Amino acid sequence: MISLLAAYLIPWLIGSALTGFLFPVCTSASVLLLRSALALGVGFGMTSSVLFLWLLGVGEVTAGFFLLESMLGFLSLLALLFQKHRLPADPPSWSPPVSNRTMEKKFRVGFFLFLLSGSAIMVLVSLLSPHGDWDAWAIWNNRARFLFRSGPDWKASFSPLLNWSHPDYPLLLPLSIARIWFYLGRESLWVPAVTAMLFSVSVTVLLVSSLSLLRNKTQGYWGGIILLITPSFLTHGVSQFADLPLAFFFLAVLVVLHCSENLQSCRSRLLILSGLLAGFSAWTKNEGLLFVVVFLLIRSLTLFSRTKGKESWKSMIFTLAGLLPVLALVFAFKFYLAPPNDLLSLLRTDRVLTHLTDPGRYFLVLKYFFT
Amino acid sequence: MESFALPKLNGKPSAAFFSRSDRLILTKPDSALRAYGLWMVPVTGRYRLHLECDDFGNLFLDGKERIRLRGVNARNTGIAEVDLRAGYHLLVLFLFNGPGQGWLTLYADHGKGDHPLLGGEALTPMDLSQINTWLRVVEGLKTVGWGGMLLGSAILILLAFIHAGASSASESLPNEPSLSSPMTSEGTKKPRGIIKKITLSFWVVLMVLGFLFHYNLFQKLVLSFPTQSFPWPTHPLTVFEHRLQEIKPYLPPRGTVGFISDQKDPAILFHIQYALSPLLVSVNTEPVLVIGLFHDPAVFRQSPLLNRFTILRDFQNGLFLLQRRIQ
Repeated sequence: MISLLAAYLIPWLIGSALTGFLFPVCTSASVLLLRSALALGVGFGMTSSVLFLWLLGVGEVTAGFFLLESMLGFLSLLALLFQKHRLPADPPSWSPPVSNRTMEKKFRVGFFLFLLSGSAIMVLVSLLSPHGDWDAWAIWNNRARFLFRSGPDWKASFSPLLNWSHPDYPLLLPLSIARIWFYLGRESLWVPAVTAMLFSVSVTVLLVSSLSLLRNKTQGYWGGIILLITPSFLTHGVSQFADLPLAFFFLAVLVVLHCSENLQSCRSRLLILSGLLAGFSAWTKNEGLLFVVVFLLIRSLTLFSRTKGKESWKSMIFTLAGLLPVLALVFAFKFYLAPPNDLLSLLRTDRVLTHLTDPGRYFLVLKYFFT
Repeated sequence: MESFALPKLNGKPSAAFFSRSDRLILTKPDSALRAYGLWMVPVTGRYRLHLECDDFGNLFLDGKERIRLRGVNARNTGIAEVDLRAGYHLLVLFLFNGPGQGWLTLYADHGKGDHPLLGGEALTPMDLSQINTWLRVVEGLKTVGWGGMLLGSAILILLAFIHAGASSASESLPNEPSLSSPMTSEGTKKPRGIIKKITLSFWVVLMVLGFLFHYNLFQKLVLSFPTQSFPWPTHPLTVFEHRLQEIKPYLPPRGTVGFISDQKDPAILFHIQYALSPLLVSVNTEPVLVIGLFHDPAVFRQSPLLNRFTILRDFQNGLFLLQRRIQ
């Protein structure tokens, strides 16, 4: 029980300390909730990266790994206590806009009722599919099993014989699951299910808290209610796919960017955090790499069109400061371990161009989108 | 019955016909079949429906899905117990076939043992001569209905946010730092009463629909719970995990083993790989040790394939441990 607690607590502590440092605002419950939601994703991102680097350097998980993580957890706890007791001279204040109290109370009750029933539904879905849906066991949990069971031969997880399981997919989720199994000393079907549920709840909390801060609490609860009554969110959210963690990082990047526009005093730190979260999306799934490209492109366009000169470059540098370390990890994995992507390796430039310029294909997509 | 050239039920069927057979058969690989019938239930009571199929099958009774089979075995089995009133009930069966031949049988039991429902007198075929027309009308109405609902919802959501933004502007204190856009902090026109009422009604309707959806989903999930103990012995992954427990002690902990089977479904290889990891399983039979999995072991023992292998162990359930003969 203690090892399971440590397995989940350490990422949360590391994530909280890092988020607390990069998002140094704590003047309302909404901000604290937002930071807590971000802490989970940042924590899993950091600990999966640490495990990957450990495996690359040492070759297998030994007692030293647990010692290292315990030290990181302890240092994070100290950092959190230090942050709490050391007040900056001019703390940035952020009070969410006030909404109609009566409406807010009603929607709060509605939101918590939906959260309760939604959580019960997620538990039932997880119980019915303990191994998750197809991609969960074929790709993510399969990789986690290889990483956990292989010992020093963990690189066999990326054998071309496993092409059908996409061994080129990044490792945030499999490493996070394998990491908790290492703490437990055995495999457990509950770990991937609980991890999926934690990400689902974090996405909900992230949405509610960010809307509460950026609009008002009533709208925050509205957003949470709409998310919780979306059919695919409840059933797919606990399918143990990497799509929910990916969605978490996408949303987190947009939220933190929006916050950085409104909190000038800690803008640089928030930009670093946005870069870090974008990097973790690339560490979660290949689609995250595309997101990073689009994110950098749009960010550059908006920055250099609105402000000129030093300010724009400074903003980009802070964003890249958070992004590049994680991206380096992703590229190290792609170039030294992962085989070529089975889907992309079949593509040829002429074939891609033919498909891109065929209007019939766009019509087919639109037709199925609306029917 | 309607059969389809692909393992999907979209578009026009490739054939439509009546069937009086006690089993539905698809001889063509990668095809699908949809069958309708009216079941005349003689007596009100509880009925036990037993569906068997290869590969995937669904059973709908009176519009509700009662059995859904997606297993990887050559014979997938599902059971559902339903309370039925005497009279006609609409039965719809789907069969999806992968490689090879597909089939489906259905039995009903009302306390007197299983008896085949298909081909029996209790089942009346439906006249499908106009079914395509009716289905097209329903699909058309669905599209219009969904399109109208989406458009209406988008308009109401927009109105709701305008109303909420204006409410927060009218409620916020003058010295309160606000992160809403400068437009709202300068104040907007108060929304008219009717817009406020529409948006409030929309949210009430949405919450009610949301609760209904949660209740419906919760009920469906509770009813789908298997009667066995967790982690569900009939789950395909659990089936393979148990089945391969016997062979695991004879396999090396790491490395590569080959795999041969008379079952063409690639999912079987994936399930075996998942169960045996970190051992790599290859359909290439070059490795010395090879796992054999056969639906009909007798056929394998008589096939020329056996000339290439020595049987090291027969686990009596179609599972073999083989050694490649080095030539």
